[in-house]
Amino acid sequence: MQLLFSHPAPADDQAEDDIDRVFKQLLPVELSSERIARMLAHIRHTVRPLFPASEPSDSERSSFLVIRNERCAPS
Amino acid sequence: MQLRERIKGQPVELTDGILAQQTLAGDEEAFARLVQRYSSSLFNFICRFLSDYDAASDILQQVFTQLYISLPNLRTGEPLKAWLFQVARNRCLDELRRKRIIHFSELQASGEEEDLSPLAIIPDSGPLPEEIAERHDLQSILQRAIDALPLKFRAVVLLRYAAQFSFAEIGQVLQMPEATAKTYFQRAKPLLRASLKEQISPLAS
Repeated sequence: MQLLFSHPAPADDQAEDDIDRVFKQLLPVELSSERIARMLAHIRHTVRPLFPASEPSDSERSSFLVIRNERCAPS
Repeated sequence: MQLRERIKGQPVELTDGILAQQTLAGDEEAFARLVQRYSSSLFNFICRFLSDYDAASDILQQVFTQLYISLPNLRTGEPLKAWLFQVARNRCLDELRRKRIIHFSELQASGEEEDLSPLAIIPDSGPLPEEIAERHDLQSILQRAIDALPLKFRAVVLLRYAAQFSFAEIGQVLQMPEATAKTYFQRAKPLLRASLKEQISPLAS
């Protein structure tokens, strides 16, 4: 199984010019930690959990299996 | 901020893959760490792209919501950083289209190379006036120069300057060859130069 990884940016062989130098001074636009916290809370409350807290009941499990049987070609 | 954990006294940075696995296992804190890891750079990119702080906040939330929903399916080997910026850029284009700032034809052309003719851009290789770096309103000047760029160049320039992406990473985000990303960047520079000169020339003269 392949998973997601972040890779460090490799160095590029581009010579720096005056445009690069002036845009190096472009300041980051800050986002407050409160805003990030509110965003996380919003996602938690509006998006269904990735996994249910409890195991599905037998009826839920069987209906799930039926759907899969309908969609998958028999092996 | 990169959250670090210590194993045997050595600081160890958890990879996106591990945090994704932990999130999928029901660890909400792991998802918060992913958000913390990328929120600043994503927000900076989105905010500079849209030139709108409040809209950028909404778009950032949409991006992370999409990540949360999509995590179970994100196992294609694509780096998470590239995926996040790809979603962010697409959401920005949607936002601009919603505001009718761009037309559908510009969206269609945004990932293509058909108009890379040198004639499409007025060359301007003269140096920038030295005093530009000392201008107190430098940030506004730079933002206006970014805003004036065609969208396909704007994304490349912001990924390079605001997110410090390599050209290979820019290619991944914009789904174009690395060489094309470099070409777009070099084509954008005369436009930036002209815009910067235009903005400071009334006072310089």
